[in-house]
This record gives sequence, structure tokens and C-alpha cells, in this order.
Amino acid sequence: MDLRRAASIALMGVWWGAAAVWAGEISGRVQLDGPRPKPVEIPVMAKSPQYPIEVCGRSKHSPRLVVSADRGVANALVWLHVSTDSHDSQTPPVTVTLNQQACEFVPHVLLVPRGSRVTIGNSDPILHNLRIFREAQMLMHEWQQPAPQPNEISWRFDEAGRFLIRCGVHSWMSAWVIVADHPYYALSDLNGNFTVSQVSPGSYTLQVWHEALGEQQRKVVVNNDTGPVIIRFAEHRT
Amino acid sequence: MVKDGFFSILSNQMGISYRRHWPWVGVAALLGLVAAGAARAPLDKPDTSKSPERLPVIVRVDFGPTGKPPREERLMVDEGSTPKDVVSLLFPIQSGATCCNTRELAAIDGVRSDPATNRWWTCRLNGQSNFSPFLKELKAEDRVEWTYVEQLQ
Repeated sequence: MDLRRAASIALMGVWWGAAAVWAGEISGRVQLDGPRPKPVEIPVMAKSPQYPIEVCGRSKHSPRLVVSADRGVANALVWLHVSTDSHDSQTPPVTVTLNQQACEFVPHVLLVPRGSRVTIGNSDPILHNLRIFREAQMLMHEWQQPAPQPNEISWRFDEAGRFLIRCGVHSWMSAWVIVADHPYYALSDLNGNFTVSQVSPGSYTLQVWHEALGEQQRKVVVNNDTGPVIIRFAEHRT
Repeated sequence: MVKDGFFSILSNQMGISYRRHWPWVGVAALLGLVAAGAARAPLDKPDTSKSPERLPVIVRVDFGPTGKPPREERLMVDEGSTPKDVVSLLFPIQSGATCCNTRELAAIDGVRSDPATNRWWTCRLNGQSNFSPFLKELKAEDRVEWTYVEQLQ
């Protein structure tokens, strides 16, 4: 074999090898059309006199729609429609913490792999009544003792989906646990920015969900020239 | 004469003069008849054909933010009915665990409690809410109010 032919073959091998390990990403931003809305203020009210609410303050800002000064939307869930049959698509489960502070769930949205365990704490010196829902079905409810008593409740999420966490006493309190069955999920940050990483080249359907704004779909192509994806929502309350 | 002979024999056996004590003999005979009737009474079967008592109650269903018109009716319901029972006389209902028990009321006329939108069916009995709608037995003239509310979040 002459030298030039051998070099060509070698270069092709390097090129194919690089293509095989190259993984792209989909980055973008979720933003709201129109003026930035004022946060919804919720007056704090006791469900019953037996449940004190002084630690909760007088009012709360609703966490359901958080929009930055330049209209970036926080906590929008972004994911790709991919097959989940391959074992390689599974992300190892983790253990994360969700806390109740000043009668709010912190953080408001958690994104975890399937099989992960969420430990839910109560830092407030009052009782909370923890409930976990999948759509309209309640999966569990349990009273949580006030701090500083030991009061953590742990729940393992074995199925993919969106799970709503509520307090049965303080009706404004809510949080979401998003359980993903593959790694191509992302949550937008406080500025509305997101990145879905390690995506092989190809064409995909990108899905976006926000608890207050609804859902959208977008076709995207991942290659070495993929630009940012801008997802726009009109202000629409669900 | 037979009667006279019977009492004469009886009084002689008892060592009393029936002619002098006949009023007391009569009273004793009467008491004996009453005692026999009372002893026999438990053998009679009780009357089981009595129907359950019917009670008048007022039921109001308010669909709140859905825009469906409210409905209020005065109903006659069976004794032992609960607030959940009586609303099912006005609308189809569905059971399900929205709080703590699968026997709770989850939907009225297709309008469901929805955790995601923080919309729930609430029940008041005579203005109070501290009871179980599927256990509490109603009394006559009770007022049951089912209201679909949207709580802020």
C-alpha cells in the first residue's frame, strides 16, 4: 500500500471515530412574549385556627410563574422524545432533598432520574401535611412534625412522570418532582436558559412544558452547527 | 250452680269462705288472667315491616369557577344518609382519594377535584366543615353545601 493511500485511510478512520464520540447539545431559552407579569401575591390564611401560620408571613409570591427582567421563564421542563429501551439511556438514580421553609417548598421544581429518592424535610416550627399526587391520584399523605423534631419523609420515585407535592394545611404550597426515564431532560434556569447535553446528531422532537404556560413542541436538528432554540410562550394561565 | 259449686269447692280447699271473700277471689282471678296474658306476650313476633324514617334535608351544589349553575333542592332522604349520599341524588358522583381515603368524593357531575389547579370539592354541614362527608349521618332539616373552590397557589 503506498503512503498516500494509507494516510487517507487513517484520516478517514480518525474522522469516523471522532463522529462516533462527538455528542452535540441543544441549548436555548424559554421566554415570555409581552410585558413581564407581576408576581401573583397570595394572602396567607389559616385553614383552621388549630394550624398557626405566623411563621408563614402575611403573603407569598406564587412560584408558579417566575419571569426574569428580560422575560426569561424559569422552571420550564425541556426534553427530547427518544426511545428508552436502551439500557445506556438510563441515568443512575440519585438522592435529593426538598425542604419546607417559611411555608414554601424549596426548590419549587426538582428534576431527577427514575428510581431516585427525594427526602422531604420540614424546617418550619409548625406541622405540615405532605401529599404526593400523580395527576388527580394521591399516592401518599403524611403529617410532618415541626422542627426541630426529626421529621424527614423519604419517597422513592420508581416511575417516570410529573408528580405534584402539596401541603394539605397550607393550600398555596406546591412543588413538582419531574422523574425522567432518559438523560435528555433539562430545566430552564432563572433566566430561562436550558441545555440538553450529550445528544447524538440527528433530528428530534423537542417538548417543552411549564405548569402555568402549557406545552409546546418543536422539531430540532442536532449537528455541529446547531444554534440556540428559542421557545416563546404567550402569557396564558392554565 | 256449677259456678257456685266450683267456687265452693275451691274456697273449702283454701279454708276461706267464698261468700264472705268473693270480691277478693274475683280480684285474684282477674290478676291471674292478666299475668297469663303478660306471660304469653313475648311469644308474639315483633313487627319488622317498619320502613326507615325519611328526613327532610337541603342540598346545595355550587360549581364555583367552572361556570356551571348552582343547584339547591329540598330532599326527603333515608335515615342514615350522609352528605355524600344525598348529593348523589342530584348528580352522578365519583369516589376517590383526594386527601386521605378512597371513599371520598372526587367528582360531582364530571367536575373533578384537581390538585394541579388547586381546585377541590369542599363540604359544609350547617355551616361547619369539621366532619367526614361519607360517614356523618344527617338529621332532619340539615343543610348540606358542596362547593367547588379554587385555592390560590
